[in-house]
Amino acid sequence: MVDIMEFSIAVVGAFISMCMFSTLYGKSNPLYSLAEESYVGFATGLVVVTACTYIYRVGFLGISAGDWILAVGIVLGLLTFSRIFPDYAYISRLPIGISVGAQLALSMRTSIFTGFAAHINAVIVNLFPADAKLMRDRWTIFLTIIPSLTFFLYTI
Amino acid sequence: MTSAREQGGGILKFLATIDRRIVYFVLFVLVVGPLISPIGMPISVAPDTVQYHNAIAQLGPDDVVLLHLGTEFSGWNELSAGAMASAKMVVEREAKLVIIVGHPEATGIPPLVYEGLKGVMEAKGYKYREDTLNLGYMFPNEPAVAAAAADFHGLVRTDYLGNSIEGTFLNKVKTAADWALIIDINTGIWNQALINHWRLPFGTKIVAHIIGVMVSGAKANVDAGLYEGSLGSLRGGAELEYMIKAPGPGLQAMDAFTLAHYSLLIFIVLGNIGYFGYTRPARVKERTAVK
Repeated sequence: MVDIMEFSIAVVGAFISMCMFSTLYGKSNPLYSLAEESYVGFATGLVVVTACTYIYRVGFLGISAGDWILAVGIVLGLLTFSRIFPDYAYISRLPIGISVGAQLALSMRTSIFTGFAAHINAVIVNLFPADAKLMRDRWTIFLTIIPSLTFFLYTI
Repeated sequence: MTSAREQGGGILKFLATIDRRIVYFVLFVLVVGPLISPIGMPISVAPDTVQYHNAIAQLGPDDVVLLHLGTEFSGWNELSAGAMASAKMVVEREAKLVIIVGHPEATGIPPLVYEGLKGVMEAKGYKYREDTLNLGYMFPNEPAVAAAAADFHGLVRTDYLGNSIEGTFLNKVKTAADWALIIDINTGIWNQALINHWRLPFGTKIVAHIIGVMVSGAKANVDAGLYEGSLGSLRGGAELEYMIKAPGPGLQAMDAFTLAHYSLLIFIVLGNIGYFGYTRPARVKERTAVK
């Protein structure tokens, strides 16, 4: 037996989905706007609540466990709100710069291996293995790599 | 001899100017029909799916497995069948299952996973905190993924409810090297970060269940040895359901997929007949008239 809550969720979900699909009819209409704005509002609210919960679980609980360095992150996070005040907006560049810099540095020092070296290594293989199917696959990759690389010749 | 345009077009004009609402309606019927009443059309299993299956099949009791939900709800529709089949395989092997979320929208997914696994978890005597944990949203950015790899308890102190994870089976997990397998359910959220910071420095095994547009990239990662296996889209999920003999939404959706794809092929053929039989001759006629 389906309870009233599950039934209501299914009905509202189906209604909102059909409102979304009404855009396929080709014209803007109030039902589509209702669905679109409900979705955006719900998603924004969810992100705010989830982010706050994350800051509490990782930041505040971490600090209370003696990991004081996390307080720096919370202070930097608060400094991003200086963008709201035009006179002090320049301060927000500091946390944004640190955040972007940390993320880029972490990504680039490893992506060079996982995004380039490992893939280059993977195609340096014997082109004449005993298995015919494997040989076909390897030749296909080998031959398609050559025109792929010409992309860089055209754009230099 | 008169052209199709001079004749008024007839069937060729109809094919060239067919109302797109008719196309949508036909697709709607072909998708909804098999979902309401499944046909059970045959399915073949790709070698990639076998490789993915074998990587999970190697798990044993007490192995700790991370199910990473790097997806939004839109992606979940495509990945749910494979994710549920993968999680079921983990529980059937009595490995410890940890769910972690990489996107705010995915915070609503773990309850769906537990609901879907209810039967197999009860059969295997699974208990929350003893055999499984939901850690909630823990990967908001790449530094968090990297931090969890180097010092897991430095980042994660509680489960999604705020209860401490101290004293649970996660005590033995210190770094990324202590995980037996990562099952990465992914639409492009932190999949590269997991490879960069878990696989590369710690050698953590990763299998990826990805959406259709990511299949070619994931296959390259398999070839490069960065993934143990990859499972592509809802089709892959259906194949995994078939392999573990647990028919579910994936196999059910395949009927609709097959019929919808056949209908699209037919519409493409009809559209081309209309184009070459009516639209193109009409354009040639107009150009000549200007001169």
